[in-house]
Formats: sequence, structure tokens, C-alpha cells
Amino acid sequence: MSWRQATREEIYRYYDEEFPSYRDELPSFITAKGPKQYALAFREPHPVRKDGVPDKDFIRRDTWQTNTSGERTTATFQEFDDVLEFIRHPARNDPLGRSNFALADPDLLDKLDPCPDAVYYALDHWERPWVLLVDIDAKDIARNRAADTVSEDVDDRDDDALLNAAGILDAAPEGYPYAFEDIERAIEYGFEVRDIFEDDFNAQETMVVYSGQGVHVYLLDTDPAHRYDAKSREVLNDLLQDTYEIPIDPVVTADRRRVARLPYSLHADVCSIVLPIESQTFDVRSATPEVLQS
Amino acid sequence: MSRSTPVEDESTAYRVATLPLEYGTTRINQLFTRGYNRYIADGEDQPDDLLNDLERFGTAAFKEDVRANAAEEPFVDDPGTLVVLATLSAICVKAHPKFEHAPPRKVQVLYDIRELYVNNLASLLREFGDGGLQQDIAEVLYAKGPGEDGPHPGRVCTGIKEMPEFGEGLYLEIPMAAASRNCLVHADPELGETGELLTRIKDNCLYVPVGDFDTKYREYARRAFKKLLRVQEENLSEDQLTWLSTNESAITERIDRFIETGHHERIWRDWNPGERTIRVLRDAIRDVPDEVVSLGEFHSAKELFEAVEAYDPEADWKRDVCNRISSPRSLGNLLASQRDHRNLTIRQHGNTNHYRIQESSRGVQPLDVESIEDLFELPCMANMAERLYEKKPVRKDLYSFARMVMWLPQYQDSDLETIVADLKDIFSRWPWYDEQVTDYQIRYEFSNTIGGDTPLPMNCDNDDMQRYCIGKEQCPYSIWGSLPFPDEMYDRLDEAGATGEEF
Repeated sequence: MSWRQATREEIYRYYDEEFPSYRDELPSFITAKGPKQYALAFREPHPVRKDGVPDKDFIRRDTWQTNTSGERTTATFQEFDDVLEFIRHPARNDPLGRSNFALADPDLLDKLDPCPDAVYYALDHWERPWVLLVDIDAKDIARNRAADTVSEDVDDRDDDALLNAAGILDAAPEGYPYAFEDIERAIEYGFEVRDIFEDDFNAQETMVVYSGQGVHVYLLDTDPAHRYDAKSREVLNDLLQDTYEIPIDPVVTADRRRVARLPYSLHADVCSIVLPIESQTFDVRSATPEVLQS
Repeated sequence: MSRSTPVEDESTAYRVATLPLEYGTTRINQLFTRGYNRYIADGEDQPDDLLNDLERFGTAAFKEDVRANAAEEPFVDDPGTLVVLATLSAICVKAHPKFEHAPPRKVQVLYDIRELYVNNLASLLREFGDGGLQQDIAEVLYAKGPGEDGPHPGRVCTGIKEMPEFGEGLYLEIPMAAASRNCLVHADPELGETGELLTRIKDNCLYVPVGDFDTKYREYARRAFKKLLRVQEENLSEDQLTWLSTNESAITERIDRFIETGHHERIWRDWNPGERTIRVLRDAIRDVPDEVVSLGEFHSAKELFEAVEAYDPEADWKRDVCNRISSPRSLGNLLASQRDHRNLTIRQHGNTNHYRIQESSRGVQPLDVESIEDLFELPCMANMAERLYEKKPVRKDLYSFARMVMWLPQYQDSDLETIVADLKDIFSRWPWYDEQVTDYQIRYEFSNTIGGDTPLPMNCDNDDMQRYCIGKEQCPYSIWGSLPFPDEMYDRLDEAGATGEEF
């Protein structure tokens, strides 16, 4: 297998052929109407209908329309299949419909049908307390490792110089700002966080997801004792970083307006499926989509 | 409403005395009544006894050892009496002619009275020893601020327990769902480092060492004193105030004696003289034509002295600082005494010292703002601009925007028409733009002052800006730190900070 960016055709093929087969595997809170938004990132900015509005390379779409008091009125997607159609062909199935701010119909342009480089859902959720996700990124681990090993004369503000000096850019996967060992380390940290959730925070329902370039660790208990708001999450950040010395991304953990990569979506930069995993012996190479393994 | 009042019930008196910020004036006045009742014998007021006690309290407060001892053993043994004596003593101080025009936060003797009150209250609380009261106080001290999810539904502090696995002493138990950073307690830090985290975690709860409770409660009690003093002041009639100032003499005489003997430090609470010097120097350097000297560069004391000599400030305090600098040598000595100031660097240059004064940046990347457009370099403002392509602004967006522009130096002296025209020019890029509506909304924001003062611009902690924030850790800027706001704005912040905390 190679560690490379997926082509447009491969992305279409993945969402057409393979992604639907994982539909029953999706976590139960991933539904057409649960997360407050779904979001897509494109490789190339795509025009919107209205003239003079900049092209978009990232769009968020609400799952519900709301009235002025914020109550739900009309659902955007009836079934998860509607979300799937939106993912497959966002411009043709944009929930904004004929709004001026919807993506422009590719049939009317010289441009290709935009292609979802990444698919996200909002951590903020209609039916359940805001989902708790801790993000551990191999890039951060690699950078820390480089800072620890490289002598001080490398200008530490220049990430590339630092990574280069530490040999990280040349290590497999070549050209990426981390090495496979950093991803493996991220996965180990992910399971450490899961253990902390279970041992010290009395969590019953947890999930570790390989995110393509790191891991996401979820705490999914819905009882009030686990209803951590932004302030409790700041505490959690500090504890994870200071007491347990886990290199997490604290911004994502505390910010409910964030979006997270959708489990079983494709991380197109590395041709990997965002995959829930059970063990730290997980081999990242096994996350390559079957349809792309030929 | 509970039938027991602080007048007759000691436990209620302790609750109101320890947590007055959580109670209304009725309960607080009942606490005062309890205190005054001690000076009624056989149905007759005993004003001389009251006067003696408050003079004793007020003059004792000026003695450092008495204040310190009160932390170990109460100087006054009842919470009602304590609040009466402390507040009346403070009122006597404020009535002294010397302080007629002085802001209370500058008056050291008021701080002394408050310290005696706080220490006394802390030792009373310890002697009263009711665990339930301590838990009630912990509820208040560790409650998180208002958030998007409303208050935490359960108890914030679910117990005060021994936790042998964490070490000796008592721990406050706070469920994670009720926790905030307020609960993370660190050991005393070594220089420049954060001390070890003392708060522990077990069973989805934080365990906070009870020593932190004492520290936080002292801070609370300082703010509480401010409220008690205000209620007492509002409660006293003109006649009572006149009686007080006519008959009280010991406190007044003690202050007079401090003045006569030149003990200014016992009377006035000066703000940091070093901070004043650096501020004035910074202004003087900025004021020099042709950039003979500049901020961020090293200069000799002689060059800086020439800048000070040429500088002609309007504010009295700035002139005072300039007048105290009589020669390059005196300036050098003054700066040498402030060598730890964060904006001052001293470098040996041959046989002489060179000094560098820096902009008062707050450790963040500064942003040049030549036109309003430049504000969009702030990621939050860029996010707001992005959103405004899709949705009309909510009022708070306009408000945040207009306030920021109000304080930009280039608009400080502009007429409103120019500002409105420039802002309309910006807003016209968005699809919902309607000239008349925007015109009206901008004018409305600009007319919407607070007692004639321009409202402060939003800062990064403001909830409305948070909607667009990319996260402080991620952002090289900060709104208050990066934008070229004038010193007046930071002065206002300092004042707001000082008056908010003190008296």
C-alpha cells in the first residue's frame, strides 16, 4: 500500500461503493437529524450561486431549520441516505436547495462536481449532551519529538526546519509532518485516555477512532454525571495535559462548535478510513479502503 | 422564607456574615441589628459603649500585629458585632477631611480595617466549626460562572472528606460535571514555573485541598466587606452620621498623627511607582519628534532624559513623575530600581548602561490597523465576516464591530459622519446590506454610551466574540493586546479593575 492522497475518482468510488456498507456500523448518535450540522471540505473551492460571493472550500449544513427561539422546525435530511447523497454529490444535493448561497450546480459550470476531501459532523448534538471528543494528533507528537531531539540552533519557529532536522519528513510516510511511529504513539495515547476515562472518570461508554493522522477518543455516557460543559472540559484538558501528560489538542476538546471527522469517512489526504478501533495493536495500513487496494 | 433570622439565630447570622454577597439588604440589615443589639441594655441604647468598641476596633486595625493575631484568635467574638464595628470604623475613616476627595481604593487605612475584618471573620468561622456552613461556602466559592448550559443542577461541593490516598488533611469533593478551572489548585510555584497540581481526581470527582478554600474565602471576604460597607452607609441617617463624626475622635486622631509624623505610607496606598515611571517614559518617547529615541531600541539615560525634559504632559501625576527626574543620573537610578519591570531591559554598554523601553504589548502579535479592513486579519473578525456573507448580523455582531472601531486611534477625533461612512463602506460588501438600516444601527451603537463614556471594546473572553474565536491557544493575536488602542482605553481597564475589586 502507499501513503498518498486519494484521487477524485477514488473518493467517488469510496462513497459510492464502500462507505454505504459501513452504515450499520456507524455510532448510534450519527443519524440524519442528531448532530446539529454536517460539513464538507473540498479540495478546490467551488462557486456558490450568488455572484460576488467567494468560492467555498468548506461548507456546513444544519440538520434542522429553526424558528427564532431556536426550536427545530423542519429537518434537512430525512434519512441517513440523504446525508450520503449530499456527501456523494454535494453541489447537486445541497440542502440549501435553490438558495443564493447554495453551491452552484456543476452542470451550469465548467467546473467539476465538487468532491468531499473530508466529511465532518458537529460535536454539538440535538438529542444528547454535546459529545465529548479528545483529539490526539500525530503532528503534535512529531513536533514535540523533534523539539526534544534537535539542537537549539534550528530556528524552532520554523516547523519544517525542525521536522527536517529531526529526519521526520524523510521517514515513512515520506513528506508528511509525522512518521508512522508518531501515529502509533498517538494510538497508544488514545487507549491511555480511554483507560483514564474508564478508571478515573467512571465512564461506561467509550470509543477510540483512528482519525487518519491520529486518534479521537470519545466519552459517550449520557447520564448527568458526565454532562461536562465547556468549563468542566477545560479542567479535563488541564488534567490530561498536566497530570497524565497526554499531548491532546485542548482547543477541540473544550469547544462544542467544532466538527469532527465522521467515522468511516475517508481521510483523503492519506487514503485512510476514519475507523473505530479496539486495540493499540491496530495496523494503520489496514484502514486503506478495500476498493482502493487493487 | 426561613423563620430564623440573623437577629436571633447564631447559625443564620454566620451564614449571612460569611456569604453576604449571596443575600439581600434585608438579611444584611438584620445582621447589623444583631450587632447593634449588643449595645442595648435594659431597653436603653448604650452609645458610649458602641463608640468605645468601634474606636478600639478602628485604631487596633492600624497595628500590624493585631491584624495578624486576629487570624488566629478573633478580636471580636460575634459576626453581627464584627460587621457593625468594621463598617462603622471604615465610615469614620472615609469621613476624615484628609480623604474627602480621595478615592477609597487609595486609602491604606481602609485596607487595614478590612484586613482586620477578614482575619477576624476567618478565625470566627474556624471556631464556629459547622461543616455544613463550610460546605455552603464552598458551593459559592467553587461554582462556575454562567455558561451556555445554565447552572450546574446538583451540589457543587458534595462533601468535605479525608482522602488518605491523596495525603493528609481534608479535601473538598466536586463532581467533574460541576468543575471549573477554579478547582485546579497548584502548589506554590517556583520562580517562573507552575507548581504541581494539588487537585486530584477519583470516581469522576475532583478533590481540592481544603487549604485552597481558606485562600479563596479570604478573597471573597474582601469583596463581601465592600457590600457590607455599602449597605451600612445606605442604612445610616444624616443624624447618625453626624453623631458618629462628632463623637468619634480616636480613629481621626490616629490618622492625624500619621500625617503629622510623615507616615504617608500608612495612609496612602500608592500604585506602583515603577509602573508610573515606565508609562510616562513611554509617552515621552512617543512624543519626541523625528524619532531621536524610540520604543524597543536601546538608549542612554541622557537620551531618555532629554525626551523627558521635552515632554509636557497634561495629567498632574505625569508631571509629578517628570519633575522627580532631575538629571540623566537620577533617571538611570530610577530605572535601575525597576530593572525587573517586564517592559524594561537594561544592557551594559561600555561603561554606561543603556535602557530599552518596550511597547506595552501583552505578549501577543501587534496588528497595524490603517483601515477598518485590517481588522479582518484577526481570525475571529475574519470568521464574523465570513458568516455575514450567509446571515444577517445579530445585534451583538454590530455591537462588537462598532465598539472596536470606536476605539481605533484614527477615529478617536473623527466626526461621526466619517466613521459612519467608513463603516457603511465595509458593511456594503455583505448581501443583506441596506444603507438606511445600517446607517441607523451604526448611529444607534455610537449614541449608546455608558454614562457618557465610550463602552470598552470586546475582549477575547467575551461570549459573543467566542462564537467566532479559533481558540486562544491557536491565535497569535488578542483583541485588547494586538489592536493599537490608545492608553486611555488601558487606563479605563485599570480603573475598572481597581474599582471592581476594592471598596
